[in-house]
Amino acid sequence: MIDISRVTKRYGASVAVKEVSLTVAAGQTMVLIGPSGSGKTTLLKMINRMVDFDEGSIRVNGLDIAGADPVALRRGIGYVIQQIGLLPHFSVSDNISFVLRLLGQPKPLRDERAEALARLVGLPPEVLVKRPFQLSGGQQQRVGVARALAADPAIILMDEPFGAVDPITRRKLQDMILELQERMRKTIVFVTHDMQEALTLGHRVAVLDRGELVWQDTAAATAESEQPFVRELIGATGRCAR
Amino acid sequence: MTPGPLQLLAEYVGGKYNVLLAALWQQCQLVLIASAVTLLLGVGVGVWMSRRPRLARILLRIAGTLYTIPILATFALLIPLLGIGQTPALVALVMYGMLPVLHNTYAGLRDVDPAVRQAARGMGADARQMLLLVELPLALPKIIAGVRTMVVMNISVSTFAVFIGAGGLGAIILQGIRTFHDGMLLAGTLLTALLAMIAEQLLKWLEQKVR
Repeated sequence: MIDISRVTKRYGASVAVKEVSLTVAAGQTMVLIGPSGSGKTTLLKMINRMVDFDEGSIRVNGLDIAGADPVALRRGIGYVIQQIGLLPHFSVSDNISFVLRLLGQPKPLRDERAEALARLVGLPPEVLVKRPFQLSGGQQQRVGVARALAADPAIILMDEPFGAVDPITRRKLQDMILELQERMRKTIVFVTHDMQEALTLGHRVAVLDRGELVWQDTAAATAESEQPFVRELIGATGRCAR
Repeated sequence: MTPGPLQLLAEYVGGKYNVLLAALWQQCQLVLIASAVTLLLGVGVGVWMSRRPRLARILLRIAGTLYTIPILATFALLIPLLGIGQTPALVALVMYGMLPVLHNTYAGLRDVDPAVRQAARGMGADARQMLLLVELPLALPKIIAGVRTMVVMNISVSTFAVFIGAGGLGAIILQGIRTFHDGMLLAGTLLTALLAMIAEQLLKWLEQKVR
């Protein structure tokens, strides 16, 4: 469970995130959505302390992260980013099990785990020995997701993970997340600017605008919302999709 | 009929190979020690300054300035401080060879894809793991390219070390020039060139291997 309470982040004079409070229940997917500069990525990055906040508090499974060791905190939280950021000098297998290497686990154990995770995210076993650049964009992001699952974290942060792939691949990756979520019930915070994606993947949707939380509710309620800004986001996605 | 240069070369090498080998060994020692020190110092400082971009610019400018001083002038300047012999020769070579290693280490680390860095940090790599598992391996081809430049340069520049009494193949070349002994001159020159080419190819091979 993630408990965000009145969190504020400033960059100089500008406020990136303003007094946002948000609770993500265990086993649920919370989608953060908003236009560029709305603070959604900044908010996400505060949860694993990639960004430090100025005011407020965040509790992850009851632990106040302000007092936690950032390195240990991050090792316990899965992290997927749009640019994927696979290590080009490592095999796919070593990429998937990178966190286990950071944790000092032995190689045979890591390889075994990588193989199981590749299967889980729908990658054929022959890609394990390849280098990341030999994979398609969609396959690379599957590696990115498998990597986030390596240490079996309860929480996974996904920062526009499917923003850079074509619509068909994106659809498949979304299906993969839904399937994984069906089986594993992770607590996921998922950032996107695509309302269609938000409604497909989220149990709940939180809408941010210029650093402020302007809406949060279940996906179903969000789809029916009369709130003008939410309507605007739904409309924008609709137009893009056509 | 006067003997051709190849004949002179063969005669000299045949008669004085032990002198030649001693000079070669002296040269190799000088180059190896200077290169090892430059490598450690250059990569060490390069890593350190990659965390301090403003300082890095200053240090690179200093290394760049040292690089433009003619090596003979450097030797001359070092004599009052360190006298003559191997020590000032080593110091001069290290000062001279710093730039390519420092520059390439810095550039190699700076050019690591920010997305890779962000992902590694986000997964919980600490500073040491980031350096050893991510940054240095990715910067390695560039670092080796800098080391290659430095070593090849050291081999040729170290022939000048004869002027402050550090011996080496420079002594053979210099004596060849002074005594109009073409065989001796050729032996010293060709051996130096050969050494440089071997070092170049070896390090190029290594660079390809780690890419």
